Amino acid sequence: MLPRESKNVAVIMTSGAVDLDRRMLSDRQWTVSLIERDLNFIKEQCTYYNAQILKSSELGLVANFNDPVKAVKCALDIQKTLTRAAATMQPRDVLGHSIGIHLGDLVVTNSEISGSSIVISHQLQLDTNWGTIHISESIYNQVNSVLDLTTDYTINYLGERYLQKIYQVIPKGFSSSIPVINPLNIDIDAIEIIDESGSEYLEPSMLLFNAVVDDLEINENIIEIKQLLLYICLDKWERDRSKLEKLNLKGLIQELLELTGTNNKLKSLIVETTQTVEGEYTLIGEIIINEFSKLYPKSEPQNIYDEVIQSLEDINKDPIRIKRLLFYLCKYDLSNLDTNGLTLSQAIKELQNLYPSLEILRSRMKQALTVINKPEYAAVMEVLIDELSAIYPARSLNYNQNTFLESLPALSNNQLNNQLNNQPSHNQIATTVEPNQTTNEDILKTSNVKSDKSIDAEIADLDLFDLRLNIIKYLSPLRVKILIFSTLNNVTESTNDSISAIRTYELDDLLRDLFYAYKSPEKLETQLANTAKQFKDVDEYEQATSVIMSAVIPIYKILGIEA
Amino acid sequence: MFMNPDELIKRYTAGEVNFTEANLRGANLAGADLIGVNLAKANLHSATLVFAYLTRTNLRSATLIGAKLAGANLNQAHLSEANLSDADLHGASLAGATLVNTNAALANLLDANLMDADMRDINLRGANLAGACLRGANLRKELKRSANLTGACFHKADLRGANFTGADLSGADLRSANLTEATFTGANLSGVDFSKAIMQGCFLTEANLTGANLSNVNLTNAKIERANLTDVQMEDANLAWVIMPDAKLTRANMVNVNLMMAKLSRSDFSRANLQRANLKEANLTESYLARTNLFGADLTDAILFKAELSSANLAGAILKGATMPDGTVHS
Repeated sequence: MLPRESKNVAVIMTSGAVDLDRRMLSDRQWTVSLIERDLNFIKEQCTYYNAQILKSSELGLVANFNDPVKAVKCALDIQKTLTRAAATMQPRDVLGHSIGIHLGDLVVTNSEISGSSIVISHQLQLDTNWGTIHISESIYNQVNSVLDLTTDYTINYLGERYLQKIYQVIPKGFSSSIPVINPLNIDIDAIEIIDESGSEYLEPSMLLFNAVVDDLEINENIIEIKQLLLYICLDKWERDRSKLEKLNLKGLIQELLELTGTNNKLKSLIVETTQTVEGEYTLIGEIIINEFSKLYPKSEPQNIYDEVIQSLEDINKDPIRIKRLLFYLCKYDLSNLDTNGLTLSQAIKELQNLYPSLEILRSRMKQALTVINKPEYAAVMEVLIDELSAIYPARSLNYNQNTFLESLPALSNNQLNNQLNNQPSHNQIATTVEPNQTTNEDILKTSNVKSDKSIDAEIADLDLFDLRLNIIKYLSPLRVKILIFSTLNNVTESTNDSISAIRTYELDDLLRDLFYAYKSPEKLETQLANTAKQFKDVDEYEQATSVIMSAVIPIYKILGIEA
Repeated sequence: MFMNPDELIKRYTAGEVNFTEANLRGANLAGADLIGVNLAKANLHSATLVFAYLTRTNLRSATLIGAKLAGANLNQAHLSEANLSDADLHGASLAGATLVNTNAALANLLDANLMDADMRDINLRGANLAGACLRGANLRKELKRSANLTGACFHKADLRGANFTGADLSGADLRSANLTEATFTGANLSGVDFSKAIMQGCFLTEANLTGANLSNVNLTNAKIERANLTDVQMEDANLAWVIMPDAKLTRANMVNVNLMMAKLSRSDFSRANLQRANLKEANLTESYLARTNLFGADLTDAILFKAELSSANLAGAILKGATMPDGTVHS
């Protein structure tokens, strides 16, 4: 039996409580009781609209409707009633719910459910805010002509995601902010920023060091440079030119480097000092910073996070306030303000986990601003949103997925197949220091943890033309398809039935399914080899296995999975 | 001369190669090894040749109507003038095969390998070529005849560097196909659906693209000189650096297109909708913009010298630094 053939199309509505993790953390028992209360109501509504409830737990509810119009009506009823009720309740009693609806494949095997309808409706639910509903294009097209949503609701087109146009439905006059338990009134400026970032000063090669010294020696402002360096190192303001001329520059530089440690500390020390002395020493300070920066291993931004962090470090953007706001948003309803050595990159990732979409983050920031009550942070907020927008689209398939998916049996036999992806893959990155032909090679290790979901999103976007080419150059395309299809579906023999089933798939899709199902090349190889053995013409299929394997390795590398 | 398949195999194994005009109608030759065999003008109507090894075979003018050739290896085979209509070539390998003037109408070539195949004057009307690889294939028009690919499906097909000069692809499905550097000079592409196709550096000189769907398509660096793009749908398409002089774009829907630094001199944009289009540094010398909608378009530093602009809608358009029809620079 081919599981693919047992799939049918279904309208799936997924609902879930917004901000659940944080609520659970602060008051588990109370939150669970709220979930129970709301779930009962949601179930009642679904039953009223003849929906079949496929799954219901404290993480949310999955219901199958036989009609998209009914699904949307039901969702609207739920949100309307819940938001109306919320207006009369204490904040502590309010639980926000988000809903996603999508029409797509539903596969039911042995009481296990899976399929695109479930995955996408769940994604939609995660993306949306409290009180609103996200529907996909397939639903929108069918509902729009029947229901006149525009009189009572605002419909926003949100763009294309998961290969679908996504629409947001909000009741008119409803502000889509999440109910927040007011944070303690704390002084944001009291948050201490430990300047932990910046490259460590490492012993550079003599060549490089001498080059920097030479460069400074021939600078026309050498006297002022020495004067400033002496002042920073020994707190002595020497005005005697002849004495300054005799000063050993090399020793001064050595001293300063040992004094500071990281390039950021060095930078801030020099900037601070130049501000306290009279005259045009700001320029001199810049010359020194520029020259010295050559001595620190410069790390090219390796990923989007690095780029965001580098950009946030830009002095013009008020990095201290940005960092304060970032830390504040990560921690802000906890009673203490201890940043606990939270680094900037950790803070950004934390933020991303807390706020699944930029819209939610923005509304959260606005609320935070009213509490902070410091106007200068309004501008900072805009800068921060702007900077963070870079990291949001890339992870649209990435939020909070695993807990929910794992609770649904076989929701994604594809995705659950291995844990390898949860292990960090280490990229070794060689960085080079640019100037003077000297290369100071330094190996920086960045751990690049990718979740299954973000890999799946990447797989969906892969360009597989070259992969296909590299395979069919050596193999009969049909044989490749049979082998992959049999591996994916555990079919042992190619029958007329399976060949006609394969006819409904393109090689491109089968290859993609292979990556979804096997996130490590080793597992794939074992599976392909096992399947190959079961064919009559073993040799042909074994050859196919080896060709496929050598062709897919580069794709695994693109996905950040090493053999 | 009716021949039974066992006899064919026996004689072939014994060293005989020449089976010209053999009648093998409906024969089952699945998985048979017949490399280099000469079956010119043979009748293989409805024969089963699944996974057969037919490398370098001579099948010129053979009848293969409805033949089952799925997974077969036909690399470098000669199939000129053969009749493959309605044949099943699902996942077959035809790399370097010669298919000149072959009739393959309605054939199933799903995921087939047609790399570097010679397909001049081929008839692929209504054929299924989804996922097929035609990289470097030649479908160039020869003398009067031209390849007929009307209504064929090329979904996700690999057509990189293929030559479709003068071919008729009207109404074909080219969604998600890779057409990088493919040549469609003078081809008929009217009504073709190109959505999600990859078309960087595509050659579309003098092509007929009337009513084609190019929405969201990436056409950067494409060459589209003198092409007919009347009524084309290309909103949100990326046409940066495109070379498109003397093109006809009447009534084209070009909302939000990127035409940055495009060469568009003498092109006819009459009644085209270019709302919010990016025309920065585009060259529109002597272009015809009668009743063109340029609402909110960005024409910064564009060259509009001698362009017919008088009836265009320029409300909200940015003209900073643009060279106006009279040669003055807009401030």
